[in-house]
Amino acid sequence: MFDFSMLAQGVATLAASPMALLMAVIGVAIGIFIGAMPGLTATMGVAILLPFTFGMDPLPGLLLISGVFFGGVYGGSVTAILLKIPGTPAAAATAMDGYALTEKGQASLALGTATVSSFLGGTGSVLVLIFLAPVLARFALNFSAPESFALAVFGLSIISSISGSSPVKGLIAGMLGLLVATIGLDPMGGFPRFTFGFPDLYEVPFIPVMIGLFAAAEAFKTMEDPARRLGRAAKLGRMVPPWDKLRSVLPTIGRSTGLGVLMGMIPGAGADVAAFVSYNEAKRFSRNPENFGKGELSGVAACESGANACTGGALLTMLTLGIPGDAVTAIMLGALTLQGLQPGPLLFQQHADLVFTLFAGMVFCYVAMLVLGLGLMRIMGNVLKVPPALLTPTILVLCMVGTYALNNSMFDVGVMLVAGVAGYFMQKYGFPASPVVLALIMGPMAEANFRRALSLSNGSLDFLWTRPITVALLALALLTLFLPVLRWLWQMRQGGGGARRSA
Amino acid sequence: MDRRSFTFSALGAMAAIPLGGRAMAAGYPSRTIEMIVPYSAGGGTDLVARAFADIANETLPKAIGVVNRTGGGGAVGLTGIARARPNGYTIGLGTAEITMLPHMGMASFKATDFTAIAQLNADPSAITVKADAPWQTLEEFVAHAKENPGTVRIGNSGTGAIWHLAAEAFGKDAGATFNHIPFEGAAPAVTSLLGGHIEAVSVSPAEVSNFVAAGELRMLGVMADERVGAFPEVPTFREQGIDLTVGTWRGVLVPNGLPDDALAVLREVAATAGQSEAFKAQLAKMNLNHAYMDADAFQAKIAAQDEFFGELMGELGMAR
Amino acid sequence: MTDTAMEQAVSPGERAGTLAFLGLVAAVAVAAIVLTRGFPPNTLPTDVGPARFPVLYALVLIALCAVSAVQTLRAPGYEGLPPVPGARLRVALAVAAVAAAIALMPWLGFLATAALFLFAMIWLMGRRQLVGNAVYAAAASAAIFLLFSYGLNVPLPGSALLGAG
Repeated sequence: MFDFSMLAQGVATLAASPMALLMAVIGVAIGIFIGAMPGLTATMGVAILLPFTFGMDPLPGLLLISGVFFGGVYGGSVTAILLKIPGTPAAAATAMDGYALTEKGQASLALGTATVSSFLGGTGSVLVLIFLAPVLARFALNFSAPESFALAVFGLSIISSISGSSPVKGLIAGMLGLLVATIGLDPMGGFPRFTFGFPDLYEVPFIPVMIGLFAAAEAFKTMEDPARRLGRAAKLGRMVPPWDKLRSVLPTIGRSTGLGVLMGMIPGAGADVAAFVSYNEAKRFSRNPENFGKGELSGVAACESGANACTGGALLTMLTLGIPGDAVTAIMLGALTLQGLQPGPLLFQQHADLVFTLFAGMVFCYVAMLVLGLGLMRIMGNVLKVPPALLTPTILVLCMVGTYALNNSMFDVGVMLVAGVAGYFMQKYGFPASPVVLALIMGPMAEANFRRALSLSNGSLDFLWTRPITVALLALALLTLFLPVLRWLWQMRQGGGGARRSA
Repeated sequence: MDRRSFTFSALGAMAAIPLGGRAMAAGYPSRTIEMIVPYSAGGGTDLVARAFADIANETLPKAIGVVNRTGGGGAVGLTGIARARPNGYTIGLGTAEITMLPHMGMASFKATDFTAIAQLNADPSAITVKADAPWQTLEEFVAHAKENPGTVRIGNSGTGAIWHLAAEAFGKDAGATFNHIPFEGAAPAVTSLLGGHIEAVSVSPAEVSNFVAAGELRMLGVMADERVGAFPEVPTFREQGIDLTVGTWRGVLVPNGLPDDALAVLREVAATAGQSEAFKAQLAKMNLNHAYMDADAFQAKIAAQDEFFGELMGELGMAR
Repeated sequence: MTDTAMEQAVSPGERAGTLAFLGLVAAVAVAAIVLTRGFPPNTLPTDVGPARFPVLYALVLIALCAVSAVQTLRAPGYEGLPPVPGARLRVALAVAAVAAAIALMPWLGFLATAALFLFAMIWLMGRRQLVGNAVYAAAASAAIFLLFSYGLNVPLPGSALLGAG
């Protein structure tokens, strides 16, 4: 039975510590900023702030870090929607429909929905963490290499639903991403593949490629016609989205929150996977799937609620098992350890008071994020009023600096430029960029886990059909992959030779 | 590359007066020292570096700034240390990988390209199994592995990484054939062990200490000369009849050819900070094993390890 | 249906460009397959080796390129929009400017390089207020520099030419 008195006590303790509340707000603000900058990720923000928490009490220190984590996941959406610069990989999914809405002059609707969705998804996931942690604690342990492989295949199948008007071009972009993802050290043998002697290429330069494909490519496109201004100049309207719009995306938010929590709990899958999976399912359940990619509000809501719901799931696994599901929670694990709190089975028994105060603080972090996000929207929206002649060059400088900052490496900046040129031509000839990002996320996961699963089973392929979760995920992948292809083939037959350009 | 002189040089650029060169004339250190960490922020190596820098900065006239240069299993950052201008303003936190990567053809440096300042921490490999596994001792575990060659799966943190080589050396010395499973780091390997998908892991005690304390995992032995402070009840390999000590270490390294005054200052600072109570306390909080070693002993250890891993990898067919 | 057809219609320039792009991608895939021949065979008895996945991806990629090429050739044509004068030159110059900035940054340091880059790019974008542009370029570079160096603790490249190495 859940002990409500513990939670009530946690809320009271939190309310009595203004320092902790202040640190939560500061953390969220820093997180939003870091998330919005291309190249700077929540991981980096948490790592930068970690040393500052050494001297703090556990509660303010941990809330500062949680705030950066939550804000960082949300912050990526702001620039993704306004400028098509995803600050984080998860925001690459948000950019698909978010930027399309901005081009239609509905930036404030997209931003407001993203903020409210992030808040609802994140808060929902923290509530799951508070009430269901003991029940779900051991879920992550069911995920071995075969399950992770199947999840990656399911993730890759989503390429077919984010490919826009031409599935073949989307698949080419995805396959190109998969091929690029094999650059670096072979996951099993450690052999350097396609590195041409550069140690800088031992790991796939994922973030530089993403910044290049989206932000730099978009900047180069603006250079074609500096005078062009789209519908971007449209002024920002109300901050809170109208109720009828919000109500229409609520089912999507609910579903995406569930998916996000699940993805967060699985080791190796994070906000990026959650955003794309949520987008895919929102499209599958939608009455008008053809509208996705052209400015569909529920697309934005799905990505943002899914990505933020991941935070609660990742924290659940980390706190209950002591297993970090991703880079951010790995650093948080270190932070907890340094505070003398050993995450794992004993944490909830030995430090229940602090744990519940921390939970209350996390909900507070999300409330702070909602208020800050809606409040700052007007200011952030002003970026659209900056003349393109100043904005585009500044974006390019930020792309370079953000890429450099990742690893203090000029080589990465060069990779970013190459990806930018490739992205420019891809956009010009109708090849979507988001499948490349998805492939870069999922490709290494698929290959490493397939080969690890093969090793674990001593070379037998039985793992593909003897494990229930694996089978279910692979079936889901097939469904996702072939439904749109079949639909498209059917449409081609119907449209047939009669297709004409009628504009 | 540091910030202060950078601002100077920027001012210099505007006024066309090269101010930057003047900084070198004064005693060492006259400006910020950059410490390269070859692994990502927040990881074990990074935490050691930051804890060390924090304490060293209390005695140094100019601060040490930590810079993470990740990639290539450490190759990128370690290359950065080896190839840095030997003026004492770029130092690094090196790891056991400097004695391993060169033999696998994955690095352009050699272990002899580094000058030792001081070792700060060392962690042995440990063989850990699930608490409900049938093996209570290393002997029972080895006996089972010999009866079922190739079926006992030991998870490590990546092919060619220290824990993989530790497990390989274990198999060689014990005369057993294991199935080595590489993961992307120690944490996923431990997760897989918890889920019962593998039989054992060969990672350090620090990386399993939570679960051993909670009664979920059992440590069968550590590959160290002496028992580990945090787990005095776990015997060493040598006590159980296998004479094997393998482990990782972390220490301050600089490129060869540093001026003598800079070397002396760095070694003195490292001796003070590395042996301070504050530093020991920070390491203890992180479950890391404090193991200070001065420059000469550290340099000799690097040479010995370099030879050991060179031979081992040759035998395993991993050398390139 | 007209919607789909409209999206599939291509101008002569797009057709040629798409085919060239597909050719390039296919060439990359072929090159990848050739390179995998130099990979070592699998070191573990239960592994498929480092070459299997890249070769698989490359083969599928080549097949998809062929399908897309056929589609592109068969797509209905239209005359296309008149190009904006100087578009190609501007894009090429922008790419060159980024490349130049990457090459110069280790020598001039971040501040000087970024300021020069911004100034050149703003001019290229057609804004010709020299004084105002220069002020913006200097101020924006300085702001970014301060933000990263002090706010985020990321030291940006210093200048090798002007000492401080």
